[in-house]
Amino acid sequence: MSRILADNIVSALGMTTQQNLDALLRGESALQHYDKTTLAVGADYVASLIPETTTVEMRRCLQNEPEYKGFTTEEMAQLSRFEVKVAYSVLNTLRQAHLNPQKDENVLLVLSTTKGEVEQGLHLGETAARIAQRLGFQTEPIVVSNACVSGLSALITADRLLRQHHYTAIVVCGTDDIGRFVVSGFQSLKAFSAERCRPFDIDRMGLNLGEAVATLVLSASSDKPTWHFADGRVKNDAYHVSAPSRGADGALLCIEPLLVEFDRQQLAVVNLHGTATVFNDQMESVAIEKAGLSDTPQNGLKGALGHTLGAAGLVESILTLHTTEQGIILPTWGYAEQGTSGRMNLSQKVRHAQKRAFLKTLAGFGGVNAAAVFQQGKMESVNAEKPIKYDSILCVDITPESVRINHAPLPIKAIEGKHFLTAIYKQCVDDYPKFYKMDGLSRLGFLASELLLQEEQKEAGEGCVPRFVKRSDRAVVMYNCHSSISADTDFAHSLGKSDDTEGYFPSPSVFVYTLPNIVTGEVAIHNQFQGETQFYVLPQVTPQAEQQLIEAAFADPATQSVVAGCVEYINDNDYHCHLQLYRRNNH
Amino acid sequence: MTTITTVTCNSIEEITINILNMDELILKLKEQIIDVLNLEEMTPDEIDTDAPLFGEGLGLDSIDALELIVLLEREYGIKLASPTEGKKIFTSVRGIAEYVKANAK
Repeated sequence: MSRILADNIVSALGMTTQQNLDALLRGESALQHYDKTTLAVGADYVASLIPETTTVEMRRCLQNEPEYKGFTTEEMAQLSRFEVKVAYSVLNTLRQAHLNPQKDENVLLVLSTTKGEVEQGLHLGETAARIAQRLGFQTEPIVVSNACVSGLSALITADRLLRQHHYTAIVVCGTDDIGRFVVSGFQSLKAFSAERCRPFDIDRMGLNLGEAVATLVLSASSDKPTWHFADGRVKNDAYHVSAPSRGADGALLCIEPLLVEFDRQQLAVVNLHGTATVFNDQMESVAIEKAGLSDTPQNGLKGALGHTLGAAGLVESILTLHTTEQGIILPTWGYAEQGTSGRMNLSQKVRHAQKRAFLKTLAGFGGVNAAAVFQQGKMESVNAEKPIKYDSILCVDITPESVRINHAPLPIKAIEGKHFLTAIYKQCVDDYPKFYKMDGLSRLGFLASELLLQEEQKEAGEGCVPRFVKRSDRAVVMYNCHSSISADTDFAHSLGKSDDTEGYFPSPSVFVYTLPNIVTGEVAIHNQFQGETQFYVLPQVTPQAEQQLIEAAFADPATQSVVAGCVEYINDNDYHCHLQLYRRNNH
Repeated sequence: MTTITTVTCNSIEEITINILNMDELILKLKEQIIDVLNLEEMTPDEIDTDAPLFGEGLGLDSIDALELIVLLEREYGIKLASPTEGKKIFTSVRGIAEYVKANAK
């Protein structure tokens, strides 16, 4: 449980949370129709984009900030759109919270983003380090890149880091650039609606993207009646990398423990993911009914702002927090007639909020689901904070030269004309042809996990939990410094030249792998691990950072073991992986 | 038996499609399918021309269907309106070949 000190949203509806709220309460939607030539993509699209006037204003404001005072006009103009959004929003909340990272060395920046600065640069760890340093943070930032659940994933990790007393305050900022890269990707997946999206509606045809930046500042919990991030969960369906489980397995594994921990009668609203795709909304309706939440009012906000990717969990939580505080439940833009099978309680109209707590849910590629409870005031939780202890059981290392299991070399028989990873696959796995569909990052992480889990079976013998049986007590946490750079490069190539559509054939399968967390999804699917899956990007992988992130995974009381490590795939000749199996020590 | 046909073509690609007979087109498609769908362990002879592509047979999924849509556009200039249209065409390799023969630009 962590206290919320400050928040900010910048979108097409305004540059402050209040401006966004005012616009939404007037019934406005930020979604507009854009011609395909604006981005040189294959078809027209509907989206909400931060207007040029706003980005100009953000740059102007930043130039007056101490952090950017030394910059020339040229240097300010060179700042990436991504950095401008993050810097503006973060500085806004730091001022509100009276926090100065230059004076307080224990403040952390957590960035929530699926693609970072992808239009300008692909080195996400470096991007984060540069931005954090400019803003005066004395700690190394953490990037959470967990597909569309990143916003809640980031808050959940931040809350756990605060509970473990590693920091005094954590600034969680999320955004994505809605440019040619992601628009092409979603178009190749045929995920878009040609019109404004219609969450949960019988005529829904797909999603719209939205551009926003949102920031929440968290600190240690307080007895004051301020809003708190109460608790959250991240769980994997272990079903498919780009489609949700029909039975809403992952969503329920997130929601049910929260309903044990917190009184569902205190929930004013459930703010859903509601992307308006056929499958997501159906899955969420199943989750709502199975969780016994059919009568609790629900809503979805993507019909007003679009799907803001890395910002979504933050934007939607902030908006729900403030409206709930004012006794309001926002309607679901684009919804008219329910087109999902689970019994739900949606509305096109503003409703009255009786309570002062809410549940937020999200789902994302890689099979990942997230849910979190927010409340006004500090509610009693049934979970006492226990010290976290764990042991390292096994480790695997893979480089282009060698494979080592528990530091002992495993000779690999080379196959002429085939990549080293294919040779490892043929020798050690050979019964999972989906391996060939994976990109380099996923192949590497998948193989390392296979060697690790095969070794676990060998060492434990009879007493071991058999493989390939559904379990939700094992987390998969992977991290690196370069995100999915190899797949990003491949996808960018499939877009041909940057300014026209000659040679423009965006590959849907390659686009899916430009989400680095897919590797954790592949491991989850093959092994039927329905536990937590996380992907982080760091400026550098340090023992301290690793320890904090693995400890954070064990903060979920259901997690008894964690497969964790660095999985870095820069190109076909430059990659390395160090993966470990950790087990909770209950003594 | 040799048939001489006069055909007006606007591009090298068009000439190629019109010269390939059905068997050659089917083989070419199999090679392309193996390539774009990363079916690395398969050879063209292992793909049954008339077996269903989705469900049983090759057991392809929704992302594979989308990649086949890109393949048709990139290699044969055929633009499909939606994945639903794709479902009707992607019945088997022969199904795709017949559609390509009829619609390649």
